Order: sequence, then structure tokens, then C-alpha cells
Amino acid sequence: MPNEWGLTNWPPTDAPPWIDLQTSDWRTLVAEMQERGWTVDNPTGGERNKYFKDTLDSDGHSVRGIMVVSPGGARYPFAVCDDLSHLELLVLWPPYTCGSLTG
Amino acid sequence: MPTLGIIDGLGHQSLSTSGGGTWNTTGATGTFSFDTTTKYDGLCSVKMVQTGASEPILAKNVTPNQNVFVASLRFRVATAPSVKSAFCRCFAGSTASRTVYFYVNTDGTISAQLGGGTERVGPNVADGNWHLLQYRYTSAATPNTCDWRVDEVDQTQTSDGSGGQVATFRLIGGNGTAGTLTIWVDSFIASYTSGDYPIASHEVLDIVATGDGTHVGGTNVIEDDAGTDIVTPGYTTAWQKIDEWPAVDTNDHIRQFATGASNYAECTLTDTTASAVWDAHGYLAYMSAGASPANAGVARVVLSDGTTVDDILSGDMSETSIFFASKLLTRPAGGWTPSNFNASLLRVGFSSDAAPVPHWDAILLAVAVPVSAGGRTTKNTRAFPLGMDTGSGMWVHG
Repeated sequence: MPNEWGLTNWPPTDAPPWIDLQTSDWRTLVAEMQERGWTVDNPTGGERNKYFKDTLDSDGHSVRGIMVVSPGGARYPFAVCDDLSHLELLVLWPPYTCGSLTG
Repeated sequence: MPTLGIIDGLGHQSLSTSGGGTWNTTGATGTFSFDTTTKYDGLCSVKMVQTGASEPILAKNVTPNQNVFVASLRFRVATAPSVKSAFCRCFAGSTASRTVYFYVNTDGTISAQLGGGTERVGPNVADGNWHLLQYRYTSAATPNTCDWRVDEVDQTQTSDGSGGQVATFRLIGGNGTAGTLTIWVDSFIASYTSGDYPIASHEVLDIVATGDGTHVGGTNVIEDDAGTDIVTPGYTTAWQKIDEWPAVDTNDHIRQFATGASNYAECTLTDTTASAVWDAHGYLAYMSAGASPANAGVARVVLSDGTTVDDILSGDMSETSIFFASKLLTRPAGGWTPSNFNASLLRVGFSSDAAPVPHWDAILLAVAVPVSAGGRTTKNTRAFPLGMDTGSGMWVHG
């Protein structure tokens, strides 16, 4: 059942809370994280089951996940739906979706 | 006269990244507040109280592909922090080793360090006075260098072996979570021209609307928030709809209720008594009655004869919460003078697509001017037995 944001099983209730950081756009966020030494990683099997297995975007598409890793080792899940014409991006801060290619 | 790229006197009193008009990155915003009492000039300063719990950040992106960043700001520290604490930084590319930090140390001194280069220690600044920090970060060659001055006195350059990178950000904030500094910062200006260093002692004026000009509002086109037409003759308080900062009252605004590409509301501005006007940076708080579809609107500065100086924003305004836009205004032909600046006007409207209805909530011009000859460089805010008492403190002439 989709929640108030139109998403199913997202955001994950057991994901670490997103850091206290706001940016005006994606380019700035990526630059800030690179400057701080953040990296990306594939999800482990456990993370795949915990964060992404039953997650659906606002159009009911299943998702593929990636882990964004802080310098301290905290692992934050991000997800993109698997419909290549839609590509909705799910994030850990309200409204928990950055929209999709189709608006 | 410096050619500035950024002017921010903090008069907008915003901690928002929405629209990117005031900040592009913020972190631990609970660390910051705007102080309308303890300030160097203008409406307020920003006060940062580091708690050591999370990294405070107020950051602006700079114009891309710059190899030089020349900045100048005012700061005040009343007491030395319990641990060495960073309060300002600028970095190149995405590598921490190319970052220059400015610290206040536990003995009250200020220091600067670029990457892994030698940390250079300056004078004591934890004395409750306002101080002037000027610096020039250069990344065009190896090594990167940072020249810096405190209260117009040269300090030892700090440098790092890395080179050939491009300055991308400047920050007011800390380094990680260790800081315990309380600091007030005000009157930030920056240039991308190496020869502008050191930018002369300056002030930043916060200029807002103070009266109505001649409106070309039309019928049911340019309106106040209650739907009353803003027209001349008849309507004389449009300025009160866009003069209030912080811009938090979404029910106090000018709106364009129907398309009218030649319709606008016009307001006059606060005059300055400065001897010269270097540059002006426009800030706009805006939103709309709905988010979709895209609309159009303009916030414009014009000379007294109606010649356009520049637009703070021209384009889509379809947001349903307050967003911010800003722009370093292109100088008018021949440059700014106190005379042509004081005669300048604000105009909002000109919408060719008023669905959803665009709102102009507040407009501010942050204006950089020189401190007059013989004027103040550092402001003493402590009691002082000799000299001129200004009530709130004392100006030390520099």
C-alpha cells in the first residue's frame, strides 16, 4: 500500500537518519560529499533485502539500490526505479522522492 | 574599485537553500542565528555558536572555473574557544587538501592553513571587537597560495603543494564537529580578480524599498495580496509589501493576477550617503499560488529614466513555499554613483504567464561601499575610557 508520498516501503524505517545537510541542487550535494570523502558501494545481500526488496516507487515500479557511505562508515540507501523510461529517484529526506524523468 | 562577484550583508536573514539564492549548502542550521543588535553594519550579522555536535555550514557556490577568490569579511569573537575552531574556509576542486581554513585558537589568535602547508598564526582577535579579514586564494599554479590580512595588516602567506585547481566554494562554517567557537560574521564580499586584493575597507548596506514610484498595474493585473489593484494614482503602499526581511510572511506580497508583459509595480529605494557605490547584489524572495505549470515573472532594477540595470530574476517562479533568487547586478553604463543609485527604482511584474499567480515577497539590495576616508576599520564594542562613544560601542579609526 503506497504511503502519503506515494511510495511503498520507503523510506526504510531502519536506515540511518540522513545527515544535517541541505543543498540547493544535486551538483552542489555531490560536490559537498566528494569534498568530505564520501564514497558509493553496492548493497550487501542483507542491505538489498532490508532496504530494496519490497520497495516500490510512486508508479509501482521496483527499485535498484546503491549505498552512499560516509567517511565514518555509515551506509545510506538510495534507490532508483527499474523502469528506464521513468527512473524515479528515492532519497532519505522529505518528500523522499526527487521525481522522475517523466515528471 | 573592486569588481565584485558576491555581496552578502546577511540582511536577508535566511538559512534556506531553496532556489539557491541565499545559500547553496547549509548544515546544522540550529547553530546559526541573525543578530540585529551585534552587527557591523546593515540589518544584522550572522552569529554562529558551534556546539561540537555537528558541522555548521553556510556556503555559496561561486561562479565556475575561477582560479582566484578574493574575499573580505567582518568578524567578531568575544572569547577564545575551548578547542581550536575553524570559522571560514574556501576550497578548490573536491579535495580537502586544497582547502584553506581560518581558525580561532584557544589563546584567541587567528590562524590560516592551506592544505597540508604550514599553519600561519596572526594576532589575537578574541577581544570583542569587530575585525576585518581579507584573503586571496589562488589555485592557478603550483603551489596553491592564500594571502591574508587582519585589520589591513599583512599576515604570512600559507601555501600547499597542490596546484592547477579551480576554486568552487567559500564557506562560513567549521571543520567537522570539533569546534566550540562563538563568532559573529558580517559584510561578506568577494571578487574573482587577483588585483582586487586586498579589497579596501568596506561596508555592506542593506537597501530595501521605502516608497512607491509610478505603477503601471492595469486592472486586475498587478495586485496586492488582498486583490487590490496597484495603480497610480491611488495605491501608495506597495513598498510595504516587499520590504520585510526575513521573508517569512507569505501573506504580505505583490502578485500578478493576470498576464501583462508591460505591467509592473514600482518602488523607490533607501538612499545612501556613501561616497561611492561599488556594486549591488539583488536578493528576491518569491513563490506562487501553485507549482505547475511553469509561470514567468520579473524583479528588475531600473535607473530613474526607466533604463533597465538588471533583473534579479526573470523566469519561472512556480514554487509553493518561499524560494530565493539573487544576482550580482550588472553595473549601469558608466558604473554606479551615489546619484544614479539613489535614483534607481525596483519594478516587479512583466509576467507573460501568470498561471500560477506569481508572488514577489521581499527584495533586498546588498550594496558594497567603501568606508569613507579616515573612517572605521575595526569597531570596538567594549567599554572604552577614551574616544567617541556612539552608544552601542566605539569606532576605532584606521
